[in-house]
Amino acid sequence: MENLSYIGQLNKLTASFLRRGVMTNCFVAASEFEKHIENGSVFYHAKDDALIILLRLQNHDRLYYYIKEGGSPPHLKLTRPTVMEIVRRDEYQARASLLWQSVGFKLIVRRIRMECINPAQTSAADNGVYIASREQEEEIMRMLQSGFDSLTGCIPTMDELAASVARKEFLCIEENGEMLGLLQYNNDKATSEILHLVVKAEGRGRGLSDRLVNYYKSQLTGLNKRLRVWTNEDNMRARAFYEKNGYRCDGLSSDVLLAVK
Amino acid sequence: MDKILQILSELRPDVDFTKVDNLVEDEVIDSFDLVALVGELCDAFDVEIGVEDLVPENFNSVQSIWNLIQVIQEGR
Repeated sequence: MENLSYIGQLNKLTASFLRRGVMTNCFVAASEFEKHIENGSVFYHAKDDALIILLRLQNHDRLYYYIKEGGSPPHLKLTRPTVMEIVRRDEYQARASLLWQSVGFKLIVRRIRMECINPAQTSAADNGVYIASREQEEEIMRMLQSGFDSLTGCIPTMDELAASVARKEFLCIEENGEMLGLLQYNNDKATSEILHLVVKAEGRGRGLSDRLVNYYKSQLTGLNKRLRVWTNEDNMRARAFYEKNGYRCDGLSSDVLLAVK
Repeated sequence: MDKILQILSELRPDVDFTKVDNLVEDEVIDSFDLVALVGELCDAFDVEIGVEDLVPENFNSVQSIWNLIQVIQEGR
């Protein structure tokens, strides 16, 4: 693995791979790699028929690949737990998932995407949910860390979390001064996605998730956005919860694969 | 530009690309479509599009895609 030292290098490396029939799981904008490249935390492995990009995160690496038609995953000397996500939308991605599983990656989670189109008008006046503030960042991080898997839970760094709080993307609900639940979402022009929704054990069964989702939807009412969420395929409770709130599977799924060194 | 229209129509037969703009920002085509689209464009026009070019403003309309192809063909 070699260090990727500037963004133009990423452009040069990928140029010959952005072709018809190439299998890839890299759908992120180059700009999203920029900060990581500045930090020296992006590595690559290139050969004729495959390009691997590794993003070094706090406790694991995230792998992106480009594999040309007829190519195969290269043999990699991984030094840390390595996670990749393959969105399954056509035969290429389904084949890619199997290819990586044949070289030692394990399928640990399959996620499905659910979408809520034309959400009903929702009013969330005075339902106890409020927008999180800067002072709550550490508490939010603790809740995310206890509620989601450290490798696959897409837990943001402290900097990313702070930026998200500044964009008012965290909603909280508390009781007697204790945060019991939170919801993080993102907001694009045409879509909005729930990124994390968690309620502490002592707050469960009391409709706090409903109140968080209601408030979230009330923020977006009338904006004609498609509301989405990814949830684990086998988490029937979560699926039923989102269905109750107007979400339906939209046919997209993704495999989360893990290799432990 | 006809070639671009043809590629887009094969990718998303349900969309009339002569009548829409803001293709990316309005998510008429999403990021998964975008990568497939770039693959088709590179093969059809024999150009190399890099990840740095994968920004909404380059793909928001047939015209903007055509402009990008021309810039690349002219050696930037």
